[in-house]
Parts: sequence; structure tokens; C-alpha cells
Amino acid sequence: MHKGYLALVLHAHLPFVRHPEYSDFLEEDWLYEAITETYIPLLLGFERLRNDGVPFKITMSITPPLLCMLADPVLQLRYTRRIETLVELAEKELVRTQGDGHMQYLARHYHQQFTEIRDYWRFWDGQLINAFRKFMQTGDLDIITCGATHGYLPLMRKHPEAVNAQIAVAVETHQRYLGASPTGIWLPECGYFPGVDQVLARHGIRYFVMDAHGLLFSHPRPRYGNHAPIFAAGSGVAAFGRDIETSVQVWSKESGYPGDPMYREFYRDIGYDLPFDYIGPYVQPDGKRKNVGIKYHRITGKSDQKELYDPYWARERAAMHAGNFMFNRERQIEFLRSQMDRPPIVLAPYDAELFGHWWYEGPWWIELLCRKVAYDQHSFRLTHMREYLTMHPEQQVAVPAESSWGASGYHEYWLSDVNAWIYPHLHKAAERMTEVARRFYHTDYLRERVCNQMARELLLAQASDWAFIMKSGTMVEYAERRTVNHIRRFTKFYNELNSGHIDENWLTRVEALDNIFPFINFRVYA
Amino acid sequence: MTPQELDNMRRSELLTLAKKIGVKGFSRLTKSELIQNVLEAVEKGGDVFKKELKKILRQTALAGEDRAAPEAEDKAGDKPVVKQTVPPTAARPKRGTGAQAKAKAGTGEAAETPEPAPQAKGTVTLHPRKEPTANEPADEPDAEAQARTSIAAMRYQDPPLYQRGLLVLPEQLRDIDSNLPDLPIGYGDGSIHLMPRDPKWLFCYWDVSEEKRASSGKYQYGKLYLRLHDVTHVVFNGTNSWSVHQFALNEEARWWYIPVPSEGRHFMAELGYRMPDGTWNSLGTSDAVVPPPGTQSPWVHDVFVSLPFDEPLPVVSGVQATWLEGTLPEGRIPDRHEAPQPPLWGSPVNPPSLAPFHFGVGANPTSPGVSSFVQIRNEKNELLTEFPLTVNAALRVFGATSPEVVLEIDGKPHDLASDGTFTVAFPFPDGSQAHRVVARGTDGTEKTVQISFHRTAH
Repeated sequence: MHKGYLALVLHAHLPFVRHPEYSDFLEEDWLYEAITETYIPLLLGFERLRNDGVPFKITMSITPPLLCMLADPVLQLRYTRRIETLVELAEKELVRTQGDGHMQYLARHYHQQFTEIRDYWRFWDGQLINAFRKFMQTGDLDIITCGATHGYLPLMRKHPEAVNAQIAVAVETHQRYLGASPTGIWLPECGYFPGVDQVLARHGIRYFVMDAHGLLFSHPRPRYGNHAPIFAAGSGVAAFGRDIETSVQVWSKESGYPGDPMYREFYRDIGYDLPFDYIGPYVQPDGKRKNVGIKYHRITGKSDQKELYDPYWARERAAMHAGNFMFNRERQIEFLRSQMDRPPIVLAPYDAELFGHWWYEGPWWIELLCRKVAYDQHSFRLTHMREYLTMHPEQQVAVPAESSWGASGYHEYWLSDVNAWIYPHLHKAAERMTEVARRFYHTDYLRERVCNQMARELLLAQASDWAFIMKSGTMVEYAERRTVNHIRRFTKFYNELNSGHIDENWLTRVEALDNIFPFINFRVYA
Repeated sequence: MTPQELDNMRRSELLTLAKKIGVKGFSRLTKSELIQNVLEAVEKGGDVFKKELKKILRQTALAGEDRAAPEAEDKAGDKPVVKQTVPPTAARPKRGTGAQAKAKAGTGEAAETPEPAPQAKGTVTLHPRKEPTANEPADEPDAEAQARTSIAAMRYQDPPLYQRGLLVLPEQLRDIDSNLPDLPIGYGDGSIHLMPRDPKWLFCYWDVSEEKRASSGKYQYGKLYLRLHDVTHVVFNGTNSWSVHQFALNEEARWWYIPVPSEGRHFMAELGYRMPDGTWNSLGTSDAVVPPPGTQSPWVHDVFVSLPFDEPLPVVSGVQATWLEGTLPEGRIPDRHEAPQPPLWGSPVNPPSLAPFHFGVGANPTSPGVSSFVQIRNEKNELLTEFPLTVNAALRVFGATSPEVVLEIDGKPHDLASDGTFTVAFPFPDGSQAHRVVARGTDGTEKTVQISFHRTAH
């Protein structure tokens, strides 16, 4: 009999980046890289597990912007272009590395991988959402939702209509693309504040994920620490807390698995390493280099001296790490069970993009872990949060603590010197959106289009990714531009509604550009 | 695909094609030589190239039909023609546009022209270009740009974008923000907005217009201050907060990070001008916020409930939940730090920490003549008002007995902790009060303690 449960949660999220106005746009690469290195490899792993009859249960959150991007025809075509280009490049690499045994072996590895990914993409005709839906229907994946545009809710709480809209639009998007209502949610950045659970309950959501201290600091103190969920007082929505031990084993740069010397080195990409007249067609058209996705070296050590990669030994190492992870969970769960009068649940949430993109061997590790958990031990099994709640309906009632999983554990990362300036604008826009939604609740078709587009602009501006990027300093200019432009467009629409003169040509162009949530109804803000 | 089709293409297009296919020394060939070489390469290259060529030819033909206003065609010599330029904002040239180059209007025309008009490729060069003659090498920058695209990329071009049946060109989307005004510095709506940032810091921003500031004393030597009021469980009327912390601001500031004085309280920010004569002109207040907790809750009391997953939640269905051990009378959990109130009958055992017992005016006024506790200081931290002094007291009665004993305080039953201890808080105004604690054992014996208090303050 199992002594406890392990709940793996993968949070797959990308901000809505779609630029049809340029045939080639660097930030769109986030999506293409994620599909090539994370989503399809994970799905291929799930296919293999299912074909082999290995039971597994993983929770995945697929955020609404990601759903909209995966369903967008322009981006699908561009991804087809990308993967075909990669296959072509892999073929050229096969030719180039002839004569060098190890390099030829690596080139063959990449050619085989990219061909497999390309064929899988073709199999689903570019509609990856259907692949996820298949695993949802077989019961292996529990797909939960997130905020509509990953808006940071604790800093939005002055406008409850805006908080409500983030959840309502997310639930509707989830229903439309996946054909089922979500029962759980990954709060954006795990940002919780007391009261948001009421909003979740209204939309039929029964559980969410918080960072460890959100549960540990809840009031009264939870009897089982964060190895059992609590029902949020007043609503009854279950709050699960992140287990710290499992996080450190995977996330830590120093002691975590991804830093192992056998694993692939992220920063030795041939997009930078090879001469320009060879790699030119595969990097930026304006001549700037970028990551292509083929890397031939392994981490080796802390210095710049990097040895050649060997996927065979990397896979063996991943198997060893999967076994190690499983062993640690066994000991942990056995210990907890001896202290608790009920089976503990260990929640292990991760960003999905960690597996495959940052940690190339990640998807292999997950697949191997599922196999080992199913056959090599009996202490625990994998579960979904909803399955756990179905089997254990009695939980402690408490008020969860306001928290997030950002640095320092609260709102500091999104409210600091470089990004605090956005909030007066976001709040004003939220206030105006509610005003407009009520004033124009019954209106003509043209104004309805304007109001719907205003809702889209507001939601896009509210993405917590922009504030995050401003603080982390990676693509600051792009993030600032996105925030500013969405608010400017919103303000122009607001002024047009007030003045009565609407530029329909401009409206059509904005609708073509910011076409997230095609079915949105602005009245959700009323 | 016939030599005729290839012949319909311009020499520069053929050059591009030849380079893609890998024809050697293509730049020095004449058009007819190019055609020959291409055909040969296709023979050798097989299906892949054939398909590639077909695609390119089709696109070339389509592009020719689509254009409404063809550029001026040059049928002779080296007349320089200005290329169609692209607005400077587009720093990214389109890919693979050689294939979309304009063909002559109406394909199938006999292509005996020695000098085709230049292609509108959308690359970023802006100067007028000389036409390549039959024997001149192709323009290097162009060929390079063409070489930068891969065949696969050429194959998957962006389709035209339609929105509501209208064709939207990429250029029209690129300048969509061009005439929009910048974000304003502020909206002037007078709002003051307080947000918790973490357990130790709050963030406050405000948007007070110049007019409001002027009419509130900015230009009559008023000094701008931010006041942080502790408004836990009070409806703020301007003077009834538990405590006030005051921060001197400079006029240009539009936001402030405020340190949190104590944990678990409700705070409200107020902005205002303090005039030289001591009057306070308020500019407005924010909503009350609670900073997030930074420590574990001191309260240990387990309340369990059963909520089956396949049934809707009570808040949704209206059906009462099944409470299990440790029910509270109203089934609700008290606020994290409740303000002191009349006897806490029926509440869980451990009262909140003594932190709420602040100095100041609360629900129960004590000594006479105590006004709001406000310390007004200037930037040098010198006190400006005469200093106040308030003194208050709290009463805590605690004790211990055996856990199985039934305890009554002042006639009402009181729960014991699992170790048999109990503790109770009472307000402690001036005057006398007495409390009677009765313990009844399981065998019926009774023990009583009467404890009395008297308080005066002057």
C-alpha cells in the first residue's frame, strides 16, 4: 500500500508574442524553442509511456496566452518553417561533420531528434493542443489553467473586476480550446492574496498552488505543514504548498541535477560557434547571431573548457538522477508518514520550460522517473491534485498567507525601482475598463468591437512577464515597449469612445495585431 | 516545367535560383546559359529541386498577377531606376522575397527583353541601382541577402493576413503606434493607492493634481507629509486610528516605500499638508491594507471540514459544509490579530499576541483628556508639537488546572488547552472589576478563585 503521493506539476507559460508585421521576430523564438525543446519532447515522452503501458499522472498548467499562440495559424506556419529549417540545417551538419566520428554521431543525434519532432508536428497537423487534449482525455494529464494573461493578481486587488476578468477569461479560453472546464489553477507567479480564492470558487476552481510559505504561514498554523493542502477559509478552495526539498534538487544551480557535467551545455550553440557564411541563413537576417538549438558540448565543469557532449552517457546520467530523486522521495514520504496520521502529498511544481530548454535532458528525466516510480518502488505513487482531493475530502481550514514564488517570497520582484512605474497606468486602465464596460453594456456593433479590443489591450498590458523582464534585465526594452504600447492603444480607444469618433481602419489593424482571445466579451468587466 | 517558363523569369531571378541550386560560376553566365545550367542541375538534383522550382515559378506568376500598378518596365539599356523603398522603421528585410519579385504583367509574354526592371524585393538598400546587363555580374548585396535564406524558409512564406475580410499588409501594422501620444505623467484624479510589497514594506503612490495641492496649502508654507495610520477594526474618521507614523516627503515625489511598523495590522495612508500653525489639510486617504505575514501564525487551532470533490462548494451551492473537529460557533476563523474586545467567550484558547495593545485611543477610552496620538516632526526629526503622553493597561488572567476539569469564568464555560492551562484577556478601563473562576472536577468537587482589580489613572 502506498504511503504517500508525489504530485508533479509542470507550468507551461509564454507571454503572448506574435508579430505578423515582421516576417522574422526574435522574441517569437521563445515559442519555437519551447515547442522544439520542451512541449514536443514532453509529449513524445508521454506517447512512449502510454505505448509501453506505464501508468503516470502529471499535472500541467497550459496558460491562455500559450493556448492562443499554439492555435494561431500564423505562428503555426512560422513554426513549420522553423522546424523544417532545423531539419535542413541538421542535414547540412551531417555533411559538414563527415570524417569526425564523435561530431558525426552528434550530428546524427540531432538529425534524428529534429526529424522526429518534425514528424510529430506534422502528425498533429500543427495543432499541438489536440495532443495535450488526448492525454487529458486518457487521464494521464490533468490540465489546469492560469490567469488570462498571467497578470499578477496581488497588485491588482484594488480592482476586483480586473481580478475577476483574469480568471473568467482564462476559464473560458480553457473551455474553448480544451473542451473541458478547468478544476484547478496555477495562480500567476503563485501570487495569492486573501480573497482571490472567492473569485476562484465562483468560477468552479477547486484547487491552486502556492509557494511553501504561503501554506506554512497560514492562519491558524497548518497541522501537517505543507504536506497536506488546506481549504481556504470562506471559500473552501484547496491550497497546495510547494515542497522545498524537491525544488532544490532540480532548481538549484549549484547542487541541482541540471548542473551535472555530463549534461549539455546551453551556451555552446553553433549559432555562435560556426562561421557566419555557413550559419547565416539560420540566425537573424540582420546578421546578429542567436541560438539555433544545436549544441555539441557538455557542461564539463565551471571553466570555459568544454568537452564534447555524448547523449548516451547523458541519458544514463538522467536515469541515475531519476533514481536518486525517486529514492529521496521514498525516504521523505516514509518519514512523513511516520509523523502524520494520513498519507502525505509532496507537491513538486516546476516551470515546464526548465525541462528541455534550459535542461536538455529534462524530458528524458521525467520519462525515466515515471517508469521508475511505476516499477522500482512501492512507497509512493504519482497523483493529480484533484485525485488526491477526491480521495481525501477532509482537510484543515485556514486562511492562506499572501505570498508568491518570486524572489523573497512576496511582491518585491514585480514592485521595485525598475517596474513600479507601470502600476498607476495599469490601475487607471482597469478602472476605465470597468467604467466603459458599464457605460457601453448595451451598445452598437462598432463600439462593442472597440470595447472588446480595449479588454484585450488591458489584459495584454497586465502580463506579469513584462514587469518580471524589466527586473531581471533580459529584454527590458521589449517589455517596456509592450506595456507602453498596449496602454497607449487602450487610451486611444478610451478617448475615441468619449469623443464619439472611432477610427475603424485603425481598429481593424489593431484587431489584426493583438488578436488574443478572439471570443472575448468585454462585459466580464462590468 | 519548361525552358519557356524559365525564360519568362528575369536574369536576376535566374541568378538567384542558380545560386540556390548550386550552379557553379553562375554570375558570369548569360541568361540562356543560366537556363541551360538550371535545367541540367534539375535533371541531376531530382524531385526536390523540381518541386522547388515549381513553387518559385508559381509564386513569380502570382506576384505578377497581383500587382495592380507595375513599375515602369525597362526594355533597353542601363537606365537607372529607383528601387521601391521600404519605410526606415522596418529593420528586418523580408525573407525569400526574390521569389515574390514582380514579374512582367501577364506571364507568358515572350521574354526577349535583355534588361528586366529591377525587382521590388523589399531589402533595405535605398539608393537607385544600375541595371545589370547581360554580361555583368549580379549585384553582390542582393545575392548575399538571398543566400541568407534557406530553401526550407523559402518554402513557407507568411500568407497574406486578412482581418474581417480586409487584407492587412505588414507595413500597415508596423506603424500602428506612430501617432499615439506618450503615456502621461499622471492622471490627476487625486487617488492615493497603498499596496503591500512584503511583510516589512508597503508601497504608496498618489496622483494629486497641482490645483488640489495649491488649494490645500502648498503655497502657504505647507509641508507635504505622508501619514501611515493603524486602522485595525476602526472606521477611520480622521482621528481615531490606533497610531500614526509620519513621513516627510518632497514635493516632486509621486510614490514612497513605507516601512511596516508592526505585523498583522491594517494600515491606511493619508497625504496632506501641515501648515505652520499646526493645522492638517488632508489630500485624501487610501484604502486599508494588511501586509502579508512574515512568520508562522502563533495561533494553533485545528478546524477540519469535509468537502467532497464531486460536489460543488458551499459558497456556490449554498449547502452547509460538514464541520469536523474543533468547530467554532459561527464556523468562522477570527482575524489574525483581533483587537481587544469584551470577554472572548467561546473562542479558541490562545489569544492573539499582546502587540495590538497599542497606546492610543481605542474602543474603550481610558484616562480623560487624551487626544489622538500624533507626533509631528520635521526633516531634522525635531518635534514640532508639544509632546503627548498616553498610558494604557491590559488585563490578562491566566492559570492552570487539570485538563479534564470543566472551567467556568464569570459563569460562562471556558475551554482549557490540552495541558490544562487557560488564559483570558479583558479590557482594563478605570474602575473596579472582579472575575470569578470556578473549576469543577469529574468527581463533582469544585474549586473557586475570585480575583479583583481596581484601576485609576491621573
